[in-house]
Amino acid sequence: MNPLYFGTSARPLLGVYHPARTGGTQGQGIVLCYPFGQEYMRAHRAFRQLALLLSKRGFHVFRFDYSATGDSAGESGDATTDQWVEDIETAVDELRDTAAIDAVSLIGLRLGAALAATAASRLDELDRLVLWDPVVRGTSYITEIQDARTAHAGNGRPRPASTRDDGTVGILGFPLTPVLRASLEALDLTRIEPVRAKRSLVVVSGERDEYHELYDARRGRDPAIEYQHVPTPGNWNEVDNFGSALLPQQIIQAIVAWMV
Amino acid sequence: MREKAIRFGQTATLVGVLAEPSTKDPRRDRPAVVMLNSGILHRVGFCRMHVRLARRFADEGVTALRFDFSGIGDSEPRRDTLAFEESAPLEVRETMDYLEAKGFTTFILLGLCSGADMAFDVARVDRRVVGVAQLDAFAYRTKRFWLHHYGPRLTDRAAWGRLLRKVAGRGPKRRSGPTEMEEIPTYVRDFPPRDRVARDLRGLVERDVQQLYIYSGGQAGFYNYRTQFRDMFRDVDFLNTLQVEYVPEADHIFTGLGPQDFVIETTSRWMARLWPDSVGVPGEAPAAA
Repeated sequence: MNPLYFGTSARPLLGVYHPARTGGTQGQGIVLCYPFGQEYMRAHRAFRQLALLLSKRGFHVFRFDYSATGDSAGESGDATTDQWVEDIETAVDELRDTAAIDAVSLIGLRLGAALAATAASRLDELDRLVLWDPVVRGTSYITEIQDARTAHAGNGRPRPASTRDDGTVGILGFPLTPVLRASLEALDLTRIEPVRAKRSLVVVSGERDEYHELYDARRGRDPAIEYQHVPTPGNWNEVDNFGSALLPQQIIQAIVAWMV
Repeated sequence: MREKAIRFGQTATLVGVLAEPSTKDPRRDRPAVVMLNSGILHRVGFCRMHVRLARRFADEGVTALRFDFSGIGDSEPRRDTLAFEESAPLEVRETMDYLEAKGFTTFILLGLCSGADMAFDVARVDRRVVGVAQLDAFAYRTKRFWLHHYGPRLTDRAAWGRLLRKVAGRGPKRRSGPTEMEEIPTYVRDFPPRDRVARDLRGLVERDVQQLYIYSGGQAGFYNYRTQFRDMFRDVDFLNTLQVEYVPEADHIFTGLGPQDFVIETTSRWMARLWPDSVGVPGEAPAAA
């Protein structure tokens, strides 16, 4: 495992490269696309485990922090989804250069799935695309994370509102600026262009109407799309005083099995 | 400011990010800041606060290293059988050794919750530490704590109602604990005996170790009024080594944007006041919003 900064000197991004540990699928790489905010914090451990398992199965794996998130350059308030999609393309290039691979796949969780699908509609042909508990529409995602903010704070009381004069709202510790909000509101996975992946998977921890709407909408455009429901906890957007991480083993194993 | 991802430590398995001032040859006679994980939150810190703090420090001339303890974030698990309470202080010292090899001789340790506990644990025994910034550190209930705790409830009709329902076994159900699919820190937070801490605090004062404590309202079961720290340690003469802040509107991981800004400004100004060659303009900290 090798942590490194990549991208441009003006916008360095933090990535972690997991080289393939076996020769089984040499020549294949996977870029993991994190969710946003507290979901990113809560998913970091699951992503590390997923990366380790995939590297043991012979994949070169790269996970990275988008601009203005994690250890990458940028203030938290400077984020936009367009920049993050561009970051995914930069990460794909980095993995191709680092590992000299022939084929690349994307795996995204929550907002990372929406960003991965958007990138997949622009990139040259991918091998596979995995949308894990995907954010289907930005508008419902914003409602969801705002509801999580007002949910109890572990002490039975709602968290107080947290706003700045410019209209930025704090969402469980991460700023949702008007610019980011506008770019999220424009996200709709049911309407994006066909993805350029040989096979796609929507894999969900719990059933929701919007997942079926997504599957039905994509099936018309992406014939090689599959759907799996793997019942596991999917409460990504939750904060407690432990700083606990979510490690849904069955769904992680299901993704690894589908990739191999 | 420039940042570098590093692997270091005795077995090169600790992962961190070094934030340095952008000057060609940063001064090594200033203390470097080492930031410690809170629970199992990885090195970016609660709500990415370690990143914001490290970049602020580096912009102001101070080198800062945020890293993951073994088994947390991107650092590999240890191969020995040491408990976290044993391995973490060792790894803090390995981190200082790494920076010492780069020319630094003094250090400031910064952490929240378990990170604060580890900062204190190392500061009390390692003379290279000249400052500790602890968020939601150890706390001990005082008489006035109980007054603040129960006082408002005595005249609160709803509180009496809750108590009666609880006695009758009809209270609201609490959220269940973490599921088996969640990983929570194995570290069990158990504040050391107050007298031992008081003795260690006197040791820090003797060494002129500067101490910044910021308490949130998220530890209200242990700390609930502005001057509680002084009351907890009336038997310790801190001379000019102590600054304590209380942000009752903040939760334990400082999710509020105002409290986050308060932590950054307060820590920066604390360092500016004490190591004036190193950081920005001293002055009053802003009120927590």
